[in-house]
Amino acid sequence: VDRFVTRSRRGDLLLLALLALLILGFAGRLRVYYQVPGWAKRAAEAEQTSQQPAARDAPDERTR
Amino acid sequence: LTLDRFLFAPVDRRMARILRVLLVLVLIAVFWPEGRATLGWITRRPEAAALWAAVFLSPAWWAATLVALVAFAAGVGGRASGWIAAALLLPLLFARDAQSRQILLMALVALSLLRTSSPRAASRPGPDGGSEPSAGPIWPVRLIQLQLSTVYAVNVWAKLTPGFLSGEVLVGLSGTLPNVLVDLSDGSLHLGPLAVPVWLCAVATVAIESALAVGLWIPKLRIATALLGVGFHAALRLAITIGWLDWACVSLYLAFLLPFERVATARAERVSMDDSFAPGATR
Repeated sequence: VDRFVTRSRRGDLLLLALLALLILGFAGRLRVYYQVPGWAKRAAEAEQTSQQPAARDAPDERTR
Repeated sequence: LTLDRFLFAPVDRRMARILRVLLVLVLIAVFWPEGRATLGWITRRPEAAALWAAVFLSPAWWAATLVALVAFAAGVGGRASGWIAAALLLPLLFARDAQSRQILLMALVALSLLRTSSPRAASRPGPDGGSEPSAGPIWPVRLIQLQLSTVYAVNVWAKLTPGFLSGEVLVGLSGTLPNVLVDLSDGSLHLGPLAVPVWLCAVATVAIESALAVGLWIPKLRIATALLGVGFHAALRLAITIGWLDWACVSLYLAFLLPFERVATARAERVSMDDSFAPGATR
């Protein structure tokens, strides 16, 4: 028993597999975070949001 | 190297203690409360954010977390102190720097699986004849290593697109994201008189992160890869602000660099040899 984290090697392997899956699941979340098109899209959205009031106040190009 | 040894080799308790102390120091730095400004996506719901901050950013919560972390670093309370610290830190994942916090929290959970002992128990001879018994099988350390490699591998996967490799995305990001500190608008990174094409920077980033995902697992390349990683993250800090992610990754290099297995195994082999030459030993 002293060799294992749980009471058996099978228990250890099960816990190892569960935690490894958790890590890989988190990595999937990281992938979403790091996904480059995602970055660019979010940045563009943020840019658009921050410019919205200014765009509303600015004279419309089409009216000129 | 068998799978059995890869997962179940005994961990040297002193090395486990060194990693535990260093991880706790990094955790304290990364999770240090900075008030409401640290809140991330939860701020979209003001009532929830106010309640969340009142509880989880309170001095009492942080004091309890600090006590648990220090106890874990000192080996007091066994595995429970690590798990309690992890449970107390879990709600703080909702704050900013969630990625680096998540990586470090997983490392804490994994490291909590190793055995600790009180200083008195540690001074007693262990079953392998050394001054301290082993801290248990090495697979929790393997989890920390797996996580670090996964972070780099996921980065590589996400960046293996024509848009990124051509440098187009980096140029776009430098013009839109406030945390990008360099101007790449003309398609080059200016390093003094040198103008490095952005596509070359993009390809180099992917190549380096690929090397970091793999190289740390190869003993002969471990030191060189770690140095490459430190240089890479240092350079990255000059180009883009990504919170604590650099520090989180670099601090976990220790999971590869510390001789967790070697010391315990060498000691066990030495003891085994001593036993076999001891008077009365059966040969």
